[in-house]
Amino acid sequence: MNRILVMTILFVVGASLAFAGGAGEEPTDGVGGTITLYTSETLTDVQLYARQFERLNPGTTVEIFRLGTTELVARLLAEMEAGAPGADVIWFADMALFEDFAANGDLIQIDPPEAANIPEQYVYFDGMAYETRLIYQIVAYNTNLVPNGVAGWQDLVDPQWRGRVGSASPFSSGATLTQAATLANDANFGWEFYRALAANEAFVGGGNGGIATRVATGEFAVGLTIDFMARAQIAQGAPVGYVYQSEGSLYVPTPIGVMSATDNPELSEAFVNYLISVPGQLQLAARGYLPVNRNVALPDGMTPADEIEVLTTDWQYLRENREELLNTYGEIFGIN
Amino acid sequence: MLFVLFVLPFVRLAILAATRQGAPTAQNLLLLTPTGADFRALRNSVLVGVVATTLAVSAAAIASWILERTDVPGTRFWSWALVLPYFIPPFVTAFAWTRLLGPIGYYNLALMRLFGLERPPLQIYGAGGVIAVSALYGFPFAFLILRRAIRNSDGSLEEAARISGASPLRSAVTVTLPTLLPSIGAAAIIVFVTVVSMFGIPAILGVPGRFVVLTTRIYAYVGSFGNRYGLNIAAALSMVLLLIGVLGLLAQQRMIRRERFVTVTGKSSLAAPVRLGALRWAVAGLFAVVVALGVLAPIVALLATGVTRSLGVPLRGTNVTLEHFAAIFARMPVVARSAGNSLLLGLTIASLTTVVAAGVVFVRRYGRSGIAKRFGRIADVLMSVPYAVPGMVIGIAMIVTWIRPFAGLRIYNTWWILALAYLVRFMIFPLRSVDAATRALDPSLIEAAQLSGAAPPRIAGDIVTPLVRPSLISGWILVFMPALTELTLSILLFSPGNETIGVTAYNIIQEGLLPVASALAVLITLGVLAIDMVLRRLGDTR
Repeated sequence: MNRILVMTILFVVGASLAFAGGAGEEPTDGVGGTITLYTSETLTDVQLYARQFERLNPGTTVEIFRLGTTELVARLLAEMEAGAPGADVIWFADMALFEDFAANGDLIQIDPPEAANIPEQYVYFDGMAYETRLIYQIVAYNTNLVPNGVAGWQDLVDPQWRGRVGSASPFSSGATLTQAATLANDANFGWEFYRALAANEAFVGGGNGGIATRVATGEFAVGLTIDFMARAQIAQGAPVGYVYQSEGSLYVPTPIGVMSATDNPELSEAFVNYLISVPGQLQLAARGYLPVNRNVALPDGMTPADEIEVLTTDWQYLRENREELLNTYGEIFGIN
Repeated sequence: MLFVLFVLPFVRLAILAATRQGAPTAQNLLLLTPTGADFRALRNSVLVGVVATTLAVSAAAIASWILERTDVPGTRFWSWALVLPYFIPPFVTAFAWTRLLGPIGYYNLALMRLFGLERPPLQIYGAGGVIAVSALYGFPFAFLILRRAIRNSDGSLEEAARISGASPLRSAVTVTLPTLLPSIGAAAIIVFVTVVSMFGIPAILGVPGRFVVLTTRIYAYVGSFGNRYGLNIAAALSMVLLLIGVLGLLAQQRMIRRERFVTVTGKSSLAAPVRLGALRWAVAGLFAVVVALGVLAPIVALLATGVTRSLGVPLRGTNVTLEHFAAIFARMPVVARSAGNSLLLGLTIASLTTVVAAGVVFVRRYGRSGIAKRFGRIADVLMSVPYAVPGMVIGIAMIVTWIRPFAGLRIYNTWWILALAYLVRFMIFPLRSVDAATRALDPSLIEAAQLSGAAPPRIAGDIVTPLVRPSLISGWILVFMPALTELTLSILLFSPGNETIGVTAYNIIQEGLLPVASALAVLITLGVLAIDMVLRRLGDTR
């Protein structure tokens, strides 16, 4: 803790020096000040984008507040209820909530110049939110334990892997809540699938990053996680493989948008613009995400979006049954 | 103001628990039907409390008797090592044990190799893990109490029994044990209430194993359910938790009264220690194994995980890295920010509570006018109210009280709500420690000063303060150390920019960034141990 104290002091001194130094320069595109980002992105990753953005735009600060989507949403809603949302920019995996926010005017329309370079289906609600990269919830497996690989969702309920199946919890992960809304409503799955998963003694807890790590360690033979997290493990040399499920993969929209309560819309928009610009997209691609900007090539080893089969998610259903979904899921897995 | 701080929150909590949208209803508590998940959580809480307390207190009684009454070598070292887990925040301990007893934890791997097993024999996630780690965390509380009790109990009686031919075991059980019952009861109640109020351990070990207790259930209602009446139900469940705390406090007070009665015998003459003979080294060996496997191994496991680059690959050569430690310092401002917040909270609240406690006790005891004395007495009572209240309940009470701006002040979602909650939670520690110290002061000292015409401030500064200084310092430390790594309150009340180090570490653990989380846990453990050592050194050279 002493070291942390010293670091804190150094950090504060360094930050003030940097600020003093930066004050004399003209910011590159006229933005300045501080914004707060509420996000469910992997903390170590999102920190990198913020630092690069700050370097490209001297005199700006992006404060990061990171929680799992479900917990983040509970907090944000409580803050809005109390009349003081702390976020300028929000970025997490709850499309249904973004729809609500857009309809209620809680988000503002922005028009970042780089939006011209991304396919129009990734611009939501007339520019109130944007997709910065594509992620899918996939099935990952440990290549030492599962040398023959897996095909998809059904492998998760294969008794062969009883007690060695992992999934993030919908009480934390927006992707898993999206998954529950999608599968529960799908004739081929339904809640039966989850009962089978529970009967297979699946571990349910925490976020997707933890599941990817624990597939790598061999704690789980197979697990549901996000494609880029599996790729990140593979890049580190971990014995991990993954498939986009044969029955259809789960596309997880993670929109980013600017809150109407912000007092710095210019900086907020500039940050969104950075994420979909070439430098931001290269950062994202380097961390294993599928980029959306047409000017950024798909890195080797990634499957193009149009070759990935996806299940259909009914956002209306998620919006109207959020509480019900969590309750039923929690009951089946005994975790609520 | 005292009323607003220390009482109002609990009144509002009770109101919220009994209403929905302002209309009275029993709906919130009706969820506690014997088949429902809320009732299951209550039952699980009691289960953990009872079993973990039994384990911790029995182990503590045995260990204290051996260390106090036998000639086992290395008494001082074992006493120190066995209390170490007390200083490590419980959520760090819980996380560390997942590295040992998780499905691919080091212990499970060792056992699988040893016995040629296909599956990990031990399961950390679930009831067993929560109970075991809670017992481990509760052990030092019981050990500290029981060791002192055994030391103060009369050893000569036990010796007499031995001389009359009873075996050492028999004489310990039939002679010493009965005199210890009040202390054992007091220790059991402290461990029980501590364990039942805890959030970190059941959140990390219980929930993933489908084992939910009251605290994690309350957190879910507030933190992640989309439930409209989440806060009302959480308030109702809080009242149940509160009831457990209050019953515990009442039981403890009865025990203390009986304990005083029993220990009137005073300090014993030193009896000759029980000779263990060849068993001496066997017992010392047993202690060594317990300390190595139960106290040191978790820290080593964290360190090993913290320096691993890729977790799926054996830890050697290029797979060893310090990058996670570097990342914490270089790339994660949230860590420095929260460490700063925790230090600031710890320093502020420890100092504030100590000063206020000294003031209240002084006014109550030595105030000149009746009004001052009465004020002191009322303040004392009001500030003691939250004593029996588990941290989670204080957290919920703070939310319901401050969620809307109060008299134009925005408290919710600021640093201040943490400060207020810590103040309410920790006020009692210096209050009790200063109170006990002044009780021991000879009133004639004060009377002499009063007769010589000294004004109360002068008496406080020149006579009382120097004499009770040790208890002021220990009261300060009693607040500072737990405040530094507080999680249960903070997890409910933190806001962006106002994270505490406990919250940040917990969130990183829950996100599943295992190596970074381990590195951070190592830093926290080392930091807390270092600070404790420095404080103790400062306390000694008074």
